[in-house]
Amino acid sequence: MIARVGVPLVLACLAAAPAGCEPGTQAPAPRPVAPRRQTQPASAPAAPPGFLAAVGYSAKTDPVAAAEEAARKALAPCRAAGAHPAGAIFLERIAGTTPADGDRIARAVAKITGAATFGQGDLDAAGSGGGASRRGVAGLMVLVLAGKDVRVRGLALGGAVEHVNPHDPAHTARYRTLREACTNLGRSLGARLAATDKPALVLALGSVEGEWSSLLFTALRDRLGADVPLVGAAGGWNSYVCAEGAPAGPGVLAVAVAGDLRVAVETVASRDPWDAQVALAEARRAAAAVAKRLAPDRAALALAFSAAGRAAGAQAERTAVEQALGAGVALFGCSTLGEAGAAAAAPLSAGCARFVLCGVAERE
Amino acid sequence: MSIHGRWSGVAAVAGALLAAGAAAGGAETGPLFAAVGVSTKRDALQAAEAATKSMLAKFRARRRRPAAAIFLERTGRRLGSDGRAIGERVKQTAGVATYGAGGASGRGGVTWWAKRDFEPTFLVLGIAGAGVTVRPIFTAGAPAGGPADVQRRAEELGGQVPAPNGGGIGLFLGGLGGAQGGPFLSALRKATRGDVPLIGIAGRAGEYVYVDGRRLADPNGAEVHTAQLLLLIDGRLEVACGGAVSRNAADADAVLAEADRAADRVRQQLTGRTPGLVLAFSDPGRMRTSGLDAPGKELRRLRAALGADVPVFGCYAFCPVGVDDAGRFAVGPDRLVLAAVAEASAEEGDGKEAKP
Repeated sequence: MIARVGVPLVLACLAAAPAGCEPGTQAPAPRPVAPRRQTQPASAPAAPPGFLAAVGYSAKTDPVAAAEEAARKALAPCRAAGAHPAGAIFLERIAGTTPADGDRIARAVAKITGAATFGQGDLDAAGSGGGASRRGVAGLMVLVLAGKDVRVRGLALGGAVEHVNPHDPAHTARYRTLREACTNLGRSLGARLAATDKPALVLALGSVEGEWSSLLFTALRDRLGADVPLVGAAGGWNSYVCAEGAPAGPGVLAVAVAGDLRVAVETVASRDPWDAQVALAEARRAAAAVAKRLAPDRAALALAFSAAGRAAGAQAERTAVEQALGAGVALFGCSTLGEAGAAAAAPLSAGCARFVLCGVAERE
Repeated sequence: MSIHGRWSGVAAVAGALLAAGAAAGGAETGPLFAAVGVSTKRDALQAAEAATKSMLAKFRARRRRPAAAIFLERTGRRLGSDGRAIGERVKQTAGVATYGAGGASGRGGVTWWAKRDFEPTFLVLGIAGAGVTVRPIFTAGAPAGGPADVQRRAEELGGQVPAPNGGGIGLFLGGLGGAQGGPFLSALRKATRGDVPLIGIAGRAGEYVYVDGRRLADPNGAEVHTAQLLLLIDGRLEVACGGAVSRNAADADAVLAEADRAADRVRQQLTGRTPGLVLAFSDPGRMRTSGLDAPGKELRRLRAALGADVPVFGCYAFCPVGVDDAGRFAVGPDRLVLAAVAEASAEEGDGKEAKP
């Protein structure tokens, strides 16, 4: 396995303007952790919503066609509510894509949603073991965020790539170099994000794997501050990230969502991820805990990342989340090769074989 | 978790393999005694001999003789065929039934006794005591048929484990790849009905396993050098297990605090008894990602709670199997697993069947 760690280099930085919108419900959401088809409201409320999240999914194998379809699905609830998206995030798990495809996907999503667009893709979704593909599920999902005073900012760092084989003892010295590189990448990203307005939540997506992602997300959290909830998902070495206006490439992406939002994060470090009953029970407990923390509010958005190989299965975990948070929740996520999560003022849980669930609700 | 069961007689379930294993040990009548020999020689054969002699010297000092020897080789990349010669060297030197595994290197882990990360080390554990036996159960070769084959092998191995009827523990050593190790051990636990406390490592694909000189063969009869080996360490023993699933292996303070808690949990279960042996396995990330950079810091925490002189056998390796901080079965990355083996108290020993 070839480890690749980027020396921090700004790929893109973006500050999206607040956007007002009206409430709506979510479009059909993508697998593996997406909700079932939800219905449109008969009529959109007149008052602008505080927070709107919608997810669109496409199983098309052409990256651009998939991006267009998913973006349109995600945008539909916003249009129905007369809202303008504050930001869009995509996760791409289509076999055989390249970073150039990532650029084309980002452009397509941005063109349709009219919003700042960020994303992560897996270059080898069919064979890397990363992303959703391990579960036999591939495709592209787009999350659109909107709402009164909701602001979405993103930053991607990547750049020069070192090639190290962590399994080779000859690379002992590089191990420390790798560790420092991952840490520096997270620190640099966190410092830049911390300079902007305080987010309600940061979602980090990285081209790292396993314990390396722990280093990156830990350093990122250190710089962001312990009062900022964080969700981290590692796509594996063979993935790319992109932010609006910059070429896609290996690195780490952090998207900060600001607004008057309530956020609950639960992370489960599985004691036996290969036991379906154990893994599913863990997902259920996490979902119930998120729902309890958000009560009496209901989550409009759920970010769910589950380690590839967890035996519970995507459908079962999706059902567990929907049962706890409501079938109307916009569910965005995929299976990953490194997961991290922390609620505000809580220590970061990071590593492998985890299930991370973040619920976001409008503050009433 | 204290184990108060006892494995039933050799002939009941496990057949010829168990009989052969039981015959290899159990002649000792003294109290539980274990010793670990360590060598840092780069040459695996020299290291095998030196570590074994070191272990034997500790036994001789007590006028004891081991019932069996178990080795862990982490001297560098070794071919599977090297494993047989390495195992033979330990067996010839120790003169007792010998089992072991090795061949993984680099990221695959180092033993607790490495003074620095990636330092080659060779460990040989000798164990003896009244009725103490080490019985091998194994399935030869590596799973080649995907998840179904992994499941089948786990069930095959688990089906050979006799019902518990005494104090003991199953030490697992294997050559399973990353995608196979966890599922195998999870399935093995189910196949053994959870009766047998397990500890060990999945190992890595390509690791060799040595089973007391036996020729390992695949279903077609071709010689292979890897296996899924479960060593049932049985006798008048009490086993206390502990562990921790890391919250964040990048946090050195958290890693060490988890080691403290796991060791303390084990110590409390022993209710004042001093363990004669500690089996311990930890994910390499707990050392490397955290920046601890050497096994010593975590080892010192374990020994502070369990005894400064207690022999510790194990290594940093992928996919440790054992229990979590609540004493429940646990397997996977990012964790520390411990098992302390102590002489059963006289009360617990009463009524136990005499072992040969």
